Amino acid sequence: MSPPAIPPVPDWRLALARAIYRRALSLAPREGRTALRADMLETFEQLSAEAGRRGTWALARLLGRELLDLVRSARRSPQDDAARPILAFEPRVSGFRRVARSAAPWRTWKGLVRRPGFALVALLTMGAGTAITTTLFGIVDAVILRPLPYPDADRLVTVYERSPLRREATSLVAPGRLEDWRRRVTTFSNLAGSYGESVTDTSGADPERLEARRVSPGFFAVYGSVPLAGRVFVAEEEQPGGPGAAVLSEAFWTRRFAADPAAIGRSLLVGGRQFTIVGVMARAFAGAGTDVWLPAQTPAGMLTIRDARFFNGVGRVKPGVSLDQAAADLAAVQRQLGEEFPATDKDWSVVLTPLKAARVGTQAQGVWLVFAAVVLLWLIAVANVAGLMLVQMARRSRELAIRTAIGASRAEVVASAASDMVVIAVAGGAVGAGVAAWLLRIVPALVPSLPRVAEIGLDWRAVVFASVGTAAAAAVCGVLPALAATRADVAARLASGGRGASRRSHGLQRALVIAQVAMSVVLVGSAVLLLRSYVNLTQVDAGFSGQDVVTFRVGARWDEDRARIGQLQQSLVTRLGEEPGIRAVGFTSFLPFSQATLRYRVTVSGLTGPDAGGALAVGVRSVGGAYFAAIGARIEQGAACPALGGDFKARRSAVVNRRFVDAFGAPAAIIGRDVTIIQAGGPSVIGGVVADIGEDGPASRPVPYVYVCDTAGSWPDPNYVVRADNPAVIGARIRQVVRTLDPARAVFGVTPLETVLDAAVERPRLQAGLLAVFSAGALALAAVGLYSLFMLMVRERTREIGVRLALGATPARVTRQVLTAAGGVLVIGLGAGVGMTLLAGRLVTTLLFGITPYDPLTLVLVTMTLALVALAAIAGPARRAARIDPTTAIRADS
Amino acid sequence: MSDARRFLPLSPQQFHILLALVDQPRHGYGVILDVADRTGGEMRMGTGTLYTAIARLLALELVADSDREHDRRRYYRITPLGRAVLVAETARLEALVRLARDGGVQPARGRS
Repeated sequence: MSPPAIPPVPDWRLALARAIYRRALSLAPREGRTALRADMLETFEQLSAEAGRRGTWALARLLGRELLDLVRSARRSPQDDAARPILAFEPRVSGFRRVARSAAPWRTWKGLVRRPGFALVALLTMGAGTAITTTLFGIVDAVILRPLPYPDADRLVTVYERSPLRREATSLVAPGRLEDWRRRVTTFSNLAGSYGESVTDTSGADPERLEARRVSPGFFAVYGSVPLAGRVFVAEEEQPGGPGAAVLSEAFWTRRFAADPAAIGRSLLVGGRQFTIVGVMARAFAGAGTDVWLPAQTPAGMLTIRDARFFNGVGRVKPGVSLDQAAADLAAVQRQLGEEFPATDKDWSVVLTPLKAARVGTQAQGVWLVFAAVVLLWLIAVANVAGLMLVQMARRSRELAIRTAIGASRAEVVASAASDMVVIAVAGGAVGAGVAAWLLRIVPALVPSLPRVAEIGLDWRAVVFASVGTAAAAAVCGVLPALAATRADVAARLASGGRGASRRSHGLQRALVIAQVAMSVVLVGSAVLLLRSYVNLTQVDAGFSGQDVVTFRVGARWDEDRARIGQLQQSLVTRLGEEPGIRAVGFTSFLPFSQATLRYRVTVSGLTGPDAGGALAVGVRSVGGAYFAAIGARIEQGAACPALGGDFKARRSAVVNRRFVDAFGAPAAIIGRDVTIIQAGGPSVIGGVVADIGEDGPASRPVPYVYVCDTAGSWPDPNYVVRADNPAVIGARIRQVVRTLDPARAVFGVTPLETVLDAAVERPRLQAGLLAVFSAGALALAAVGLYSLFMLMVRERTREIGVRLALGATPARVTRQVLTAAGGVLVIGLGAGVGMTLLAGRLVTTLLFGITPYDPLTLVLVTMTLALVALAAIAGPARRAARIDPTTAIRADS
Repeated sequence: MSDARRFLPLSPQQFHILLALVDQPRHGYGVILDVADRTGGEMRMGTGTLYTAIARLLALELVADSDREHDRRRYYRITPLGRAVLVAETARLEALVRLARDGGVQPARGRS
């Protein structure tokens, strides 16, 4: 050979090529050829050495050619190369095509039609499974996994204050302080705030109440989102005294203006002031909550009142700055402010939370819980279909063995056996994905309280999820059982096919059934825990009754003339109180269970409270009229609020709750003492004591509360509460009365109080309900799994059982044997399930109320339920075993 | 001879492998080189094809292992039966070619 013109290929390339070849050789086995493996490697070494001398490219070409040849020659069936004539007169069918042909659609179709019940059950399981899991995945993806729909959303944070006493996790931010922060921080590209306000727009035919957000300068710049149409506010519009401007939400724009671009330039009329519509923000920007954004135009005077906290702060951290750095920066600024304004800022600190965590917050856990439950259920379903498939395979085992014996390769047999399931899985997956697309579209209407609900929809990730799920299901349900059924050696199976000697362990199916039982225990256990927790919630004595009570609101702004609003409130309470059938009318700043509370520290004359300076941290509500009578609260001592007064200079009275009195050591004389809210107005005289009301929700322990019997008009837009004999018809009367008093006022939120209270337990109820449905499904599936496993065992041992019966065993004894076998499976499954439930307990603890996840009664209950269901499931197979007729059983061939 | 006809027709691979072994035993690499050389590079067998065919020929006893103690590589030799089959196949092909010629089928000369 001539000396090489090209430098020889480095050794590692040769080694790599040989390694690949060796691997390919193991992957493409071929009967007969395997014995020559060493020689093949040897020959390839020589070929590669020769090609290597000609360069890397030649080596690569050789490797490619060889791999292709390995695969191609491995696929050919033994008969092919024996008689492959040089002058072939008939086309030969390649091995691959034969495999494909065994799985051909019409054969599959014939197979499915032969077993319509099985096909239908499998198809429904697959379809429903894919639909539900894909839907839940879509929700998990939209709510938890995907970043918020803003540019570089991971740099957005919420900014709140934290009070020195830390009674609450966070407190809203005072506008002046927010402005100080904004000017002094260096790690934020921007900081802004906003607060919600109910406004009444009178530009249309009827007054319409809108959810508005008042925003500080630069609010939209913080989010960095581009408006869908028009523009956001310009600096002029954000200054106090600037022109009125409004940015609409897409939802409101569509609802009111039919998404007409010409809406931009028109005006809203809010409180007699014109707000020109300048732009529209896309639906995803703020979700469902907001109709319109208006500039806050905070007056300069307001910026100096450092105790008026009402802004929700939001900031964008500069690129390359970590959250910790940003938090440290802001904390340092706040310490400075503490020195400059010791009276108002000392000891107040700043709380920074990633915006996503703040938005999704506690809901994430519930979503994960439901998703986990659904995936668990789906696994059970897949396991079950796989089990049913195993039964089918067992029924066909002899046929499969014969096919192997007459020369079909294992691939062909597996393909023909698994093709049914692949077809079912793919069809089920396609149908399921379609249903999921539809479900995802209606989810926002079903659970509007979910955060980020506007972003939910079928996107490519959900489609990938559904496809991968379907493929996995097809593999587990189709290919695995088929492989298992074709693994045993042919001769043995032909010899035994259905005869009594068959004592296969059914290891795979037994494991599947055990897993099903265990997962059912987990699901049923969680469902029972959540249900009992929900029942506990509803049975809490909240100290009031929502029955026959209607609540509503009347549009009013905080910057209106208070005396005028006060007159309206007085007339409204009086006029409604005179209506026949109405027993009591009152109002409160925040309804019980509404999650909204003002918290202050108070002092009481002549008494020393537990906190520093003899003060006490309390929740404060502004109430008026016959509020306590209207909600059915019990006055334990003294009197409820006096009649609603209109004089802002008059001395106010207050009602305190039982917990409040206890906090001061339960003195005998509490009535008549002065209670003073620190930093928020003068003293009020305590006129009465009310039994504790569960203001902060059914799951919270009552805390001390002060109900200030406020002057009419001091809280412009309270929640009115009416107790009536016939609450169903009261809404129309309320509207009429308000119209006669002031036709420009919108009446909104007319709702039975029970509905409002119900909303507080909506989430636990939903979670418990969903889990209950899933666990019922899981129970049914586990029952089917047990049934099919033992039916299969009995069927296979028919001959053996027949022989035993013929030899004198009693049917009772045969039944007992089946039950014992089932009992073993059940005990392992139950044990594993109880273990898993205990392990999973920690995950659900925070969702529970008044019950621990390790509640023994629940575990016993669940175990008993499953045992009963299992017993019912195996009753069939056991009876069948006992009824076997020895004479036919022994003669039967299969 | 009737015994040899049982194996007909041979696949092209089998034919070429037997042909390569007629004059001397060869190892796998040698067979690949000889076949490529004989066909002017037209036929380059991959190892997969080669050894699938060799396995088959070994099973049919048309080819056998050749003992060569001084070389660790495996050599194959043609068996008397293999030789007979090769002769029979050649005769069959010849007969076919004659039939075709008589029928007026003549490959064009000079451009193939």
